[in-house]
Amino acid sequence: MVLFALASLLIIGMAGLALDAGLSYLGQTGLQSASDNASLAVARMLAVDYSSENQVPAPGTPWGYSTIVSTVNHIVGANGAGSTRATSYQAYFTDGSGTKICQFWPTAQATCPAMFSLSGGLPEASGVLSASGALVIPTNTHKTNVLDVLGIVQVSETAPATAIFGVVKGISAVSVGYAVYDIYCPTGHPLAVGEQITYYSPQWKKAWPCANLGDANFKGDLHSPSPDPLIVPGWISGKSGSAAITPVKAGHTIVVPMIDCVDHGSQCTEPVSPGVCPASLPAGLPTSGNDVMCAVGLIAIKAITNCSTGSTCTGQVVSFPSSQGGILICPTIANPTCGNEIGTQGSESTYPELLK
Amino acid sequence: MGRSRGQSLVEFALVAPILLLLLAGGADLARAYFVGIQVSDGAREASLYIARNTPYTSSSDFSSALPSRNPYSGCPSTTGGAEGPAIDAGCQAFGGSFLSCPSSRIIWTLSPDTLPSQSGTSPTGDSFEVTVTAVCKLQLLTPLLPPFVTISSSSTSWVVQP
Repeated sequence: MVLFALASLLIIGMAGLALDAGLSYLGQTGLQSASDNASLAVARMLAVDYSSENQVPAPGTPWGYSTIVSTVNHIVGANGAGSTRATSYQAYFTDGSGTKICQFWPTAQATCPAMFSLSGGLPEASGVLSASGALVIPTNTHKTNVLDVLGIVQVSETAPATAIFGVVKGISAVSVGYAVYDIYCPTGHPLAVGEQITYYSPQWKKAWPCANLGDANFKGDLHSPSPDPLIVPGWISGKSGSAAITPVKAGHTIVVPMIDCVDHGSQCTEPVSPGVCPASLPAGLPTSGNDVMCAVGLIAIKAITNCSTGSTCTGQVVSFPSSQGGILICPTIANPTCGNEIGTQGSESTYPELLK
Repeated sequence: MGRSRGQSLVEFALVAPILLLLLAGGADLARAYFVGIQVSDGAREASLYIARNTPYTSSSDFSSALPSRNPYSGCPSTTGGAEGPAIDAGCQAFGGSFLSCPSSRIIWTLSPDTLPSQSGTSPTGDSFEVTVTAVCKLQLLTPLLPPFVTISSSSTSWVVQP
């Protein structure tokens, strides 16, 4: 009986420990619902604000700072019940990589609402897009049931979650018609993500011999003036475009397909060897004749500064996916007004999309 | 010797039911925790699916993400059926273990189950809150306890319509 009494104490103690640990773990899953749902809501709202401020693709009324904060409050409160409900939480705006920019709950740093002062829409700082998501960290602190015997009177659970949005890294059917005209190649080839580049702002019509088709649905080789046949691969030609030319605003991401030629007859000759092409290209590209397509891919460029029509602008390569054949052979530019146009019209896509 | 063996036998006979009760109780408690986490994960995944799957441009568009019946009972073995993709997403949390809540004892409730026309709280006018509740009626092993215990969890998402 003595042994049983001792053993019972041990068993009951272990059962109690399991009770507290289990409740704590269960509480954490409830907090995860709060943080997942709240961070997702913020990312979605920021995406709407992004669309609103950038007028793409279907601008709605921006949510703005105070509505976002109150919505997060509501969603955190609505998730979890009883012991799984968050007793407090912290919330931050993050950039596109999930790095904290500023805290907006429980105390708001002054930089948070200030970011929304621009048109009440997407946070911007110094003219550059900054906030792309949110990190929400709910915490639940509660008393223990059994562990207090061991001096642990309360425990805390936390379940952080981050949601961010980005722009579609590809061609969307929703196009607003920004055009990256000339990408002046930097010193290194091929382009790399994070690399700063100089590009021509939307300037579709250029003087002969580099005049282009001016076609609203043109998405291919800028080196082929009419009546040369325009041959584009299916993954480009299947999308619609727009002829609208709009100045590129700081923070905008411009996604364009790229097709470059190494030889296009007498019109624009680049200083590279004709016929030198990468081994793998999407189907549909001419690999011989006057328009040997040599560089195909999608490039996403984030404008660093505002850029008016026809001016030379600075941007940063955001994405250059090799999965889309994204390689770029970039020759030395012999004639910056003619030789190295890479880009298209009607293919820009800044449709916000959740990244994680 | 014989008297001692008899005493041990009596002691064991007295203690064994209590030990078995503790053992069964511990097993039920552990399983309840496990199912509680599954229910919480399932509700969360289902509501997150609805929140991610925007925009909903029409009532039929919204309904296509939801089960054909509300509340919906069960987790089908194959996806893409009448349960709808939101429940499919939630059911992912219930697979893979004999400790899981049996499919026949899971009940899903979604609110709202039709696309709200105007919430009045959203700048865009048609964003809304959606709550998914997952319930498992878990059968217990422990004698003296009720044969079933109901474990439920809700997850609330904010569906932001662009």
